[in-house]
Amino acid sequence: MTDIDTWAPDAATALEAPRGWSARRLQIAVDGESIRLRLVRFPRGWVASADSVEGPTLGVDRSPYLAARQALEPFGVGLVDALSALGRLED
Amino acid sequence: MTLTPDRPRIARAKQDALASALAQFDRVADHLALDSDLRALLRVPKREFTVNFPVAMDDGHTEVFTGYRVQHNLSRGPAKGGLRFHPSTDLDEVRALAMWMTWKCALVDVPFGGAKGGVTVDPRALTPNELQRVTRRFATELQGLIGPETDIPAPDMGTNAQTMAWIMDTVSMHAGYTVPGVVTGKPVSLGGSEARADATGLGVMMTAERALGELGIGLDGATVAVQGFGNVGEAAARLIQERGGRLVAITDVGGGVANPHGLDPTALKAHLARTGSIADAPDTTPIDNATLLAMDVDLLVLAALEGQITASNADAVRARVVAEGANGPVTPDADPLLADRGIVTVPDILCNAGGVIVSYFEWVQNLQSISWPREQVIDRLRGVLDRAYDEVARLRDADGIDARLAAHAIAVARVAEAQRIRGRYP
Repeated sequence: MTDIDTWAPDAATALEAPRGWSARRLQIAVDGESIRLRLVRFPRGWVASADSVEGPTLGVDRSPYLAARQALEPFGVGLVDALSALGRLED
Repeated sequence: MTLTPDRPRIARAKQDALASALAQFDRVADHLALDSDLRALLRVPKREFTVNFPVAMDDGHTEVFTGYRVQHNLSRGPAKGGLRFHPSTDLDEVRALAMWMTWKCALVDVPFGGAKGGVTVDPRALTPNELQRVTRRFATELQGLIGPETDIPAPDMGTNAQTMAWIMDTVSMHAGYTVPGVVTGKPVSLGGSEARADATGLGVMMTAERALGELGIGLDGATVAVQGFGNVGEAAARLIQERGGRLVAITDVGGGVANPHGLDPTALKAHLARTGSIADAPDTTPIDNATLLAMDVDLLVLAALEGQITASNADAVRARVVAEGANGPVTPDADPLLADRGIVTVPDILCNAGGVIVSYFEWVQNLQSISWPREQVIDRLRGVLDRAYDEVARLRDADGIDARLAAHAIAVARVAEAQRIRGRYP
């Protein structure tokens, strides 16, 4: 099973986003390897993406958890790991 | 002491079951920020079936019974869920229980959707022949709905391995060949799984032991009170005692017994068989439900009905751990009241999932025409439950949420993911 050791939302690394949008960048360690997950909230949902060797992955959903799950799937991150990695997202 | 069953309270609890199930779903849907389309889809059952059917009684007159089968969601696989025979079973109760089955199957990651069914009948008021005719006629009415690849019933309140054998035989007669995979919870001699009869009780014991362990309390030597002494309560009580737990109080529908030095579940089962209740068993003190719920014990197992701990009596609970062997015994408004006082609840969809897990094992064994020994079944059950418990604990700790919300979040997210990947037809 994939093990996510740490996650770290970092306000200092907040992405620049269009008006009405918000963005966060999370650093997630999977099996000792670091994955950078970008999570962008737009009026109709969330876009998540992470950098893989084949290019950026993509997840889109009204739920940030399910968007992150899609983006992290190519890394072998399970749904529970993805939910746990995000932690509680406050509005 | 004999208790008079509190019929109005039972009826109210059943009406509230659907409200509880929907309140729990809304809470997790908010947490996951599910979109409105998915929320609307998962909030209601996919399919509901109600049938009124006549049955000839032994004295020659005909009685009309009402039966239900509700399939809540099939995105992860065939529908799976029990059939109950109970006088207060109604459509709303079956809807709630079907929804809980969807989440339960998803949480423990078995490839089933959720269903539930029942007949509004008091099985104790029927003769064995009448019961068989009710079962066979209801099974015939369900023809076309149930099957190994569509919807697989299992025992529940008021039904047992014999009931499942009658259903399997009825379906097989109509098919012209034996269809063992149409039901689970069959007798072992008909393709039932070893350990299926104790499976829910085993799961209650295993998950309660994990919860106690998180508090630094071992099951060996722990004080335990059990509400309900049916299939789940009896097995849980017996297995907990085998692991060294001290059973200090047990109640059933007819009354309750206590003994601070420990009760013998085997003797109580024999007394139940002789008298119809555990009440007045030798070497015990009478106790009622309200007292049992307020006992200062390490573990309180709720294995009776829905809605037993509510906002009105939650303050009286003094157990360290509450294990939900029944479905929905703690209402949503009581959850925070228990949590605020540091009482750990093992949520129903995790605590009582042992039954559906071993049902899944039975279904797999039937489809492959193989049979696993009891030890192998128990080992696999422990593996599945440990994984589910670990996942719930991880999300609970990561998000700072309670175990019920964590369990439902995992389950609903899995169903939502399956729904999304499958897309929409047409």
